Amino acid sequence: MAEYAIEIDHLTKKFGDFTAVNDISLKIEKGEIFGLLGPNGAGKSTTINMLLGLIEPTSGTIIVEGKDIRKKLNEIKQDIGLVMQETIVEPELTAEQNLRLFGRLYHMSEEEIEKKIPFLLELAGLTEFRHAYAGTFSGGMKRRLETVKSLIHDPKILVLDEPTTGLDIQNRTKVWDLIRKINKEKEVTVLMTTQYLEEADEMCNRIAIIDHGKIVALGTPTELKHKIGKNVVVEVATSRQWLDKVAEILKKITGEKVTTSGDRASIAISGDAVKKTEQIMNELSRNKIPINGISMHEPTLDDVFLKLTGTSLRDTASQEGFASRREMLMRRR
Amino acid sequence: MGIIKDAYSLYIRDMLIFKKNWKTSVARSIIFPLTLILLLGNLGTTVNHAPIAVVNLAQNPEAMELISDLNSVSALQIYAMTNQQQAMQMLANGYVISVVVIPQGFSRYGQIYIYTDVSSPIASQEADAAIEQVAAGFGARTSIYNRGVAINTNYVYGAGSNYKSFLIAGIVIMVAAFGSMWSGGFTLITDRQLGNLKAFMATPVHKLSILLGKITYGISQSMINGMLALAIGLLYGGTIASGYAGLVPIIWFAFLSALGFSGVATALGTRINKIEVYSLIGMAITLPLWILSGAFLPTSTLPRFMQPFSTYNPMTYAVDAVRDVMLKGVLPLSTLIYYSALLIGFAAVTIAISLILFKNVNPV
Repeated sequence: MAEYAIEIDHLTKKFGDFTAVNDISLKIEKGEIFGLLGPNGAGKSTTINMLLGLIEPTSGTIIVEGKDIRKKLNEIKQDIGLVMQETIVEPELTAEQNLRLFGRLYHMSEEEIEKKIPFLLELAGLTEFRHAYAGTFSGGMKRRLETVKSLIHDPKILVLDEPTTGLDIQNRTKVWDLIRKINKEKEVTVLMTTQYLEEADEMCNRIAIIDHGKIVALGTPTELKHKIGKNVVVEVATSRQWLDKVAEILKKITGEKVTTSGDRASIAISGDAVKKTEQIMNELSRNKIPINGISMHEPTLDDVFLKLTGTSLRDTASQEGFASRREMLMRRR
Repeated sequence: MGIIKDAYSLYIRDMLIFKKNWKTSVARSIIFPLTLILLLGNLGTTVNHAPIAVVNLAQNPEAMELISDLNSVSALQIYAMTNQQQAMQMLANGYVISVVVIPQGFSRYGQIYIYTDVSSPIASQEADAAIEQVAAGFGARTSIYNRGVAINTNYVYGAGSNYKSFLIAGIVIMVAAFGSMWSGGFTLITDRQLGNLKAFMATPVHKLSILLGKITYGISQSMINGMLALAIGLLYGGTIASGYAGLVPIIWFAFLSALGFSGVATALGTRINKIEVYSLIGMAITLPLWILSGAFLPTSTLPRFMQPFSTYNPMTYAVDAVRDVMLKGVLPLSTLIYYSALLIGFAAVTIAISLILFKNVNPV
């Protein structure tokens, strides 16, 4: 028996001059929900594609359930269920036909497939939609069908590439519940990528924060938040022209490193946060700096990300279009 | 065997999608042949009482029978003659558009000669068609396998037979061949765009199965399209000279054309990411091949510099074979083998290229 579900060792992938994945090493334990957190274009999908043998690594090794991907790719494929970023249930096929197709592609017998279909539809809460065309489903239903579709061959590992991107809160929660259920009841190891902090925080036992192809931090959500080393984050929202001035004041009062992002300046502090915040507010009003708000909160994964990479995940979302286009261009090469 | 089974599963998937949208798919596939047959098939169909001089040099009962057959056709107005020179003079003067010469010693297995005035192409062509039909029927009365009366026609324009059948033969083959361009290769691109290709490649299915599934799907679509086009053509008045038995070689050659072109389509689909680009390149390949195959007009009417292209165009042979079946009613075994071999060779090359390209296809 293999010790780990997935072992990634010094994995690198280059597309021409562009290094999409830069010397990543990871060990994913059996039964855990592991998250790869990072903005678009960070190298998450490239890592997943290499794991599935869809693209070849430039260097490094991947071991899945004790099997080397270069030698036993087909056996590994039987161990992995994939839920892709794009919802790709076939809209012109019924829920049942979608499941049956993949049962066949995983070389299951017809009896096994027919036995599995009602079970999976039940799991996804789609029993009554068995004969309905997937094209008529809502985004959340499609995603749930896609998720259980990846379970048809009883994989040991479920790989989800941004499972909730584009879903509203309600549907997102339903997909989360489904993933947790699969993880717990079927003892399936889950590897998921996400660009949502709440999702990583909520779902994952462990998280690797990935940016520009490199892992910048690895640990449980709590461990990561402790990396900030401070217990409170103070964030001041203002307009852009005042940002530098605000940052200057924050620096003067706390003596800590200020990070700015968008129209916000934030600072992580320890000690009497209330007193320091009061000082900050006084100083701001004395300088007649208009602010839109001030908040104090416990460090979040975004603060961790901000500290480690110098950019906020929230801001990268606005560059999403650009980043994904860049990623696509890179992949096409 | 596993490869075949996987290919079959993927083929079933594409066919299920087709079945769901069969109304639009069928409508799309018939609109093209329907338009062409309706628009072009009407060329020259209004000929009535075309003046024909028949020179009876044989003066035997068979010759009389043939003349009376010709007389019974409303498209023709027969002038019975005994002097060929006189008849040719009438042709030169434009009193008749064709001269039919029944030579001495004419029999049921004999020959006739037709001289046609090229300056009135459509009328003369229709007249020739009528004459040939009569001649074919004349021979057919004795034996179905008989070639009938051999005809020596001296014309430049037209196929010398029913233009509708002539056109339909071309359209059936073209629709069959190009049907795979718009199904197998096309869905390969949409599957890549939608991520399906990636999903398939993440399963233990061999890449070859994915390609085979697309090729068989392309062929099925092509055959459906081709047979619909044939049905439209026959309903609209096209005929198969060799009767229903002729369907077998027609389907065979439609199949071979579809086979070759699904290779072309999938080869393009492996390397092209955009539907727009694919359509453009597909058009640029298919339209010239179509014209050059003689689908509309005999290849002999093509400009001289284009004729080599038609010789090296695999479609030419498929169209030719089907036309032989539909118009002449006979396809010699040697021709059948030769043309089949050419088309199988073409398919082997295109599918091999497609296989090589698909080996390192990019799933995303």
